[in-house]
Amino acid sequence: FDMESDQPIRVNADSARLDDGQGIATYTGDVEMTQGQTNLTADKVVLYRDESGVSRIEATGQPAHYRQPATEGQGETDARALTITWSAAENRVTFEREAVIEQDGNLFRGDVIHYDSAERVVTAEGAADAGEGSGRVEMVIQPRNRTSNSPSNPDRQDTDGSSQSQ
Amino acid sequence: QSSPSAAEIDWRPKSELPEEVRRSLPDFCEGGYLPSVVPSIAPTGANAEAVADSRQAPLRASGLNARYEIDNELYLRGDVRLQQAGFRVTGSEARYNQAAGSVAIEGPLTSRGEGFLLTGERANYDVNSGRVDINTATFLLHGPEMRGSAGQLSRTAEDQVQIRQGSLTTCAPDSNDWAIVASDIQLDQGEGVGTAKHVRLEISDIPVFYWPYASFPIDDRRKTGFLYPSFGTSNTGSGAFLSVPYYLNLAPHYDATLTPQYIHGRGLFTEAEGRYLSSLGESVLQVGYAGNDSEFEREFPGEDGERWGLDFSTRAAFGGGWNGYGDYSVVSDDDYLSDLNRTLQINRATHLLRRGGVRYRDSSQYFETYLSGYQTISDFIADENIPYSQLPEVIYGAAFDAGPAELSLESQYTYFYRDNADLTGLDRANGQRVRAIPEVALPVRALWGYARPSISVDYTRYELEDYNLREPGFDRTVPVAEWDSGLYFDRQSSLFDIPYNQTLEPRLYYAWADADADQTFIPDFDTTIRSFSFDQLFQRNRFSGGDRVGDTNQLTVALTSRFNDLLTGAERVRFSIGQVHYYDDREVTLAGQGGSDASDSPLAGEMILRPVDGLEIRTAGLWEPDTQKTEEGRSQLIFHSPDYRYLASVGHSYRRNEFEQSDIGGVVPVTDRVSLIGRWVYDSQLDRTVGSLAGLEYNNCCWSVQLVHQNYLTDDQELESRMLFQIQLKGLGGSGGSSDEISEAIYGFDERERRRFGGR
Amino acid sequence: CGFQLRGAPPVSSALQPLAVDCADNVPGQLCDAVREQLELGRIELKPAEEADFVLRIGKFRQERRASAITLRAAAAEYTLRHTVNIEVLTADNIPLIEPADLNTSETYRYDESNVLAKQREEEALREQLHDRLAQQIIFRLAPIDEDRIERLRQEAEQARNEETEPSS
Repeated sequence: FDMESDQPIRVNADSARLDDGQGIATYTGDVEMTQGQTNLTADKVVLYRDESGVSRIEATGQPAHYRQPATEGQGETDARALTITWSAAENRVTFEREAVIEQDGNLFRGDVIHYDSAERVVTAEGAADAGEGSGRVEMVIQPRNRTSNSPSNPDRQDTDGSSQSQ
Repeated sequence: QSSPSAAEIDWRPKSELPEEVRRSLPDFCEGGYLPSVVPSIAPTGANAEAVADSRQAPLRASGLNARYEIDNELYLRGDVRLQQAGFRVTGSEARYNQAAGSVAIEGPLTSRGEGFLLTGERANYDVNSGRVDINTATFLLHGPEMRGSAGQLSRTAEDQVQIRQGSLTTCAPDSNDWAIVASDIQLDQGEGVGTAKHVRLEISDIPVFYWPYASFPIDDRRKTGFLYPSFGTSNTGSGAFLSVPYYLNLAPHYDATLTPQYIHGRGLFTEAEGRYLSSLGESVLQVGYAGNDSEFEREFPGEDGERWGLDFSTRAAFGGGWNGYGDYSVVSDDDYLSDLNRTLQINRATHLLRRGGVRYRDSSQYFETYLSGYQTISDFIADENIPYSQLPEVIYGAAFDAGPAELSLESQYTYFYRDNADLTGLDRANGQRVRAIPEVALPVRALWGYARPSISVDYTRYELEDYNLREPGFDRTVPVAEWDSGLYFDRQSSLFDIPYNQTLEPRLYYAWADADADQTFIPDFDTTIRSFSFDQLFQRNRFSGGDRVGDTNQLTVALTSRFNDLLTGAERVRFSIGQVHYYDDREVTLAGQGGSDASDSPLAGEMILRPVDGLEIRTAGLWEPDTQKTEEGRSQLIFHSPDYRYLASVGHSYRRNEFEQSDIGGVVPVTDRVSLIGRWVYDSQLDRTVGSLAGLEYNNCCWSVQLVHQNYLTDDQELESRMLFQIQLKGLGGSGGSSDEISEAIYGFDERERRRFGGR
Repeated sequence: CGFQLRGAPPVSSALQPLAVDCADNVPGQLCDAVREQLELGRIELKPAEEADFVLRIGKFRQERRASAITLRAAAAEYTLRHTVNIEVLTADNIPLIEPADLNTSETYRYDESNVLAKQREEEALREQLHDRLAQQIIFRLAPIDEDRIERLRQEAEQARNEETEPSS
């Protein structure tokens, strides 16, 4: 989400609870947040506000699902995890437990993945306690020449958002 | 303790090897390598289809944690695994620069692929070209079981491996029995050939041989081996010798082997063999040359020491039933072969054949024309026995069915020639001979038997030169009538619970040939009395060749019984017995022989036993009923164990008060590693040994050595001896050296050789 | 004593149409002798593409060794030994017999003072060896009858299904 943009962020959910004092809004039940084409679906989303606006968003779901449309030079991003948190301070989105990000045919899977959209850097770690995710980070990276030589290639079937068969 | 080498990772003692690997492991190896199978990770999600071109294949990477600057650089750390198409590598850290398409991997790294395993300290992998460069690497090629280490190892393409400051061997990880050390080794698994520069052969880390350049096969597609040095001594004055074969892989379709040999007392003797494969067929040229053989000069003062030998053979398939062949051998002097080109055969060549011609064959016709001659290289052949040359010989044969009848023609034209300067009388004759045998037969066939009456005319015309007994042009016409008939009876039963079908095959063969008795005025170009064999009972002409046609009026009565195993159909046992009854005396003779007035021939018998695969016993004999004596006998036993480690062959031939020789040979493993090789040929008539071979073979898993002592007869009736010592390095392909020769002395040795290093 | 006149042809009629496929190094005579004996046994021969079964004859080897020598080390007796390998397969490559090596040999007296005559004798002997080897090959086809072919086909079918089953 881009806080500076003037596009409104719409949220709809089964129920919502606002706590103005601490600036926390909690939406539960089939929550969907959209800003332009970017949207986030989850079972529960908690928004934290401070004086300069929304400072933190926490979404949890089975899994929570975040989609960002393609921009110039960068394909559409499709990411899922049990909990997705966005913090304004670090301008970074963190996906925890069963985190999977797909972009431009590249695929990342791991227990904890941080995605800094400004720097366009993804860092990922396997969980030390090696839960069921085998404690490893896995990724599939398409050969560079394929993506660069045909950026507008319509039939790039690997980013049609086909869901991951787990 | 540095990380385990590639070989150590996959090496398992025999007990821990999977069943089928253990079965193909020779007994003298304590262990082997696990097969290198690349576990294909099930392709995930989107692009499940196998990407044929590895350059387009996605790179799969995983590790404990990762940092990826999108479309720029991926940095992985902690138990890193990378895979792209068939190539896999694991290491401690990896840095993948997507722009350059190169992955730098920090060790200790291992990389497993189809049939190979590599380890190393640091590696660089180019995603686009698939090229891998590994520093301080160790490698293991599972196929040839070849392992080694390298300062720098690069897999430049699918089947090309380049090694710098490398060493390679096929010995087990813990043994340094031998190794090839070289500054630069190139292994081309596509061609199956390796080349190396500044090569040193090290035995237990001690350099033993040095070559500036060498090429060697790394699989068995190529014939000759790499450095199979063989050396030995011989007491025929030629003393010790050392030969070092040197293989040159010149091109896919021609290669050469150079074998310089130093023989003490004779100097340098070099043999070269070139093979050329054309679209038509293969040609092989072998040349031997000794510059100045001092021993030879001593023996024959007049001669200069230059001696040489040449053998050329070629085959060509022209298609459409036509093919051509050519064999030409020549040596500079009679003793060339026995002095310089010793083999382990018991006999010594007395003539070298030269023949070249063209053949055509289809289902009903046969045509051949060729030129042929011999070089006689024995001083004990009288001038009149020097073989004629055939300049040329033309053969035409045809057989057609005409309704119930079968018409056939055999015809032959030959121009016989030899140098008759100092020959006299009939031996001086040269000349042309045309022979034609048209035949008409009325074969009658049924499931249970057959009858084949036939009449033919054996017509021969001579046009002779240097012939003064009578008119130089004359002919000989012999009418012939034959009747061959037989019945088949079957009976099924079983023995040692193997079901078999036993046959009973009575056969009657009548032959009548009205040849005029006196043919002594005809010169003997190519005729002799046929040697005895059971099949010879059913031949109408007791002479082979064309210069005598036997007169005969005979009836052969014979009975054959076979036991065929009903499961495999193999003929396990065959008995045959037969006798010829002569109704007239035989008067046509050749050099006084071949005539007889006996009314019955001796009883002829033949027996073949093949109780198990690998054991065959043959015996055949001629037994005279009224004197109760065996006139001739020939028996042979050939045995090999299923794994060919035990070999035995026993032979015995006998001609009453004329000739008796027995020949016993075999290979017996004494322990898993040591085998004894032996052969003994004994002449009971002369009561002496006429040839022997005693050898020891030591095999350990990656090299073997053969020590062979040979006693052989020379043409001055003396037994001479020769020692041959030869080492062989497993995996460097090919055989050659003494093992090639031993297979000429003992049946089955070449198959044993093929299986020695686990080849099945 | 149990013998009756032969009532059945040596090779079962189930094994046709049969193709006889001889490798390049197999002498034409041997190949023709096999074809002739098959035709005598009323087996229909067809080229490989149209045949249901293939008899593959290959790896022909002929050896000549001195099996006895004179006092002057010249050969006194030679033994000729012909060896060949055969396989029988259906058109879709199901093996019907274990590949087998067959051999036959004959010995003849040699005389180095009559080399050309002995060459003739050797050539005649080689023809007899071709005929004998052809007969051995026919013997090996005898056990292949209708139910063996069926049994082997089913076994191959089963094996193929097992192969494709686990991963589907």
